[in-house]
Amino acid sequence: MSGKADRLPELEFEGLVNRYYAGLYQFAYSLSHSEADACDLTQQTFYLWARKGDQLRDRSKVKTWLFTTLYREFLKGRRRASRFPHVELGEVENELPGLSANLVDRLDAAAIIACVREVEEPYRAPIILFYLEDHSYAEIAQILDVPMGTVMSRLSRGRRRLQQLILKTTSSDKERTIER
Amino acid sequence: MNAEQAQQILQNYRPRVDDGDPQFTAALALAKSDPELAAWLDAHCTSYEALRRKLRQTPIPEDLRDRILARQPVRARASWWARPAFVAAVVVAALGVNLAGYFVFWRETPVIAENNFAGYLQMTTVWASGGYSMDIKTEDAEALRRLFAERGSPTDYVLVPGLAALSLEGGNVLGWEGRKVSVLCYQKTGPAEADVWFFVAERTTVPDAPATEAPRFATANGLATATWTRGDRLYILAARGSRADLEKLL
Repeated sequence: MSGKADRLPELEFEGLVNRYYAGLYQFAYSLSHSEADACDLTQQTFYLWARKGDQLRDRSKVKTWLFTTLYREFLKGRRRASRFPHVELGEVENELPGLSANLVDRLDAAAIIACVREVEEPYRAPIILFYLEDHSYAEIAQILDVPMGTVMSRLSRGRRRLQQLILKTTSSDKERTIER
Repeated sequence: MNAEQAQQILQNYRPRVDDGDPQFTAALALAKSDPELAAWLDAHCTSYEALRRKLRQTPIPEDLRDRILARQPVRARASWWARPAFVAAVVVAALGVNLAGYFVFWRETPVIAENNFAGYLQMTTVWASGGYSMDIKTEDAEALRRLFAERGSPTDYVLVPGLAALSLEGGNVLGWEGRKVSVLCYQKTGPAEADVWFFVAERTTVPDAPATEAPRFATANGLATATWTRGDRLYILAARGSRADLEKLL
């Protein structure tokens, strides 16, 4: 493509920021529970890109690189051992009724995000990537640095857990309305 | 594979995103011939889209983009004359070995993927639907053109008639693949208050953009968009609302 040679690095950086900062921030916010932390993580990710991005040989992997870096920075900021307790979700959750779109629409975005935050950590990141972004499963596995089979099983469990939390939230809202 | 097994597999299916993923192919094929499974899949997809929509409504801090850009470290490639590699290359060149210098100077600037119209539309709508701050806040169209001229983005654009009835709020210059894009931000006042964005780029910035003067409509990141080209300019009009809302402006 013409113009490659005279392309300014800062414009390339700005183009990347324009394209990905919103998705990265939303991923960070869902992980970290905090606007300030999410801003820091997003900024840090682009800072690292500006410093190390030219090491990425396969330029089609920029998006995955950014999400992987953000997730690693998030993990780095936490004490992994204490933050990743082994969580077993009971098989009984398989029997939950389906989650209809009407039910989801009864809650506002903040309530849905609050439910996502309550999903235990090993399951939360796959859930967020599953819903928020258009990453393939192979890319999600790469971002989380786990095998694809683990992604699929965490997703199944995480989705059930999210479903359980959303059902709980909508039923408590309903109870509050009846009480009034 | 029976319907129960297919349903189990399709629990992780995402409409559009996973359409090409072979792990879902057989289960999707079965859903086409099994009405009960098809109904379940339809409900699953609707529920997925509803949740996705909600999560994508997370508001983005207004100044985040500017904070990221402000924090960008001075890249080594930008200050090439100060790079130790350059100094070393000069020394090496002085010794008659030019190979290192060649490597430092002539390595091709990396190409970012998704340099296509879909990527461009994604960038503009993510920018508009997320939090952003304007480079200049002004109701003066000429002041905005002056900013665009100073920043090297297109100034010879033709506004669509409907924009004359809206309030100009300001504008931005965005970067895309090394080229600059003018953005004019408008607000529709009155009972149906809404933001409207008008993006102008050189046509050659996005070579695969629809080459048509008749607007093409699409929805991206919660915004209705109309895209067309005229002369050597590529235009995108974007707004929250429907195609009908945009058509009133064209």
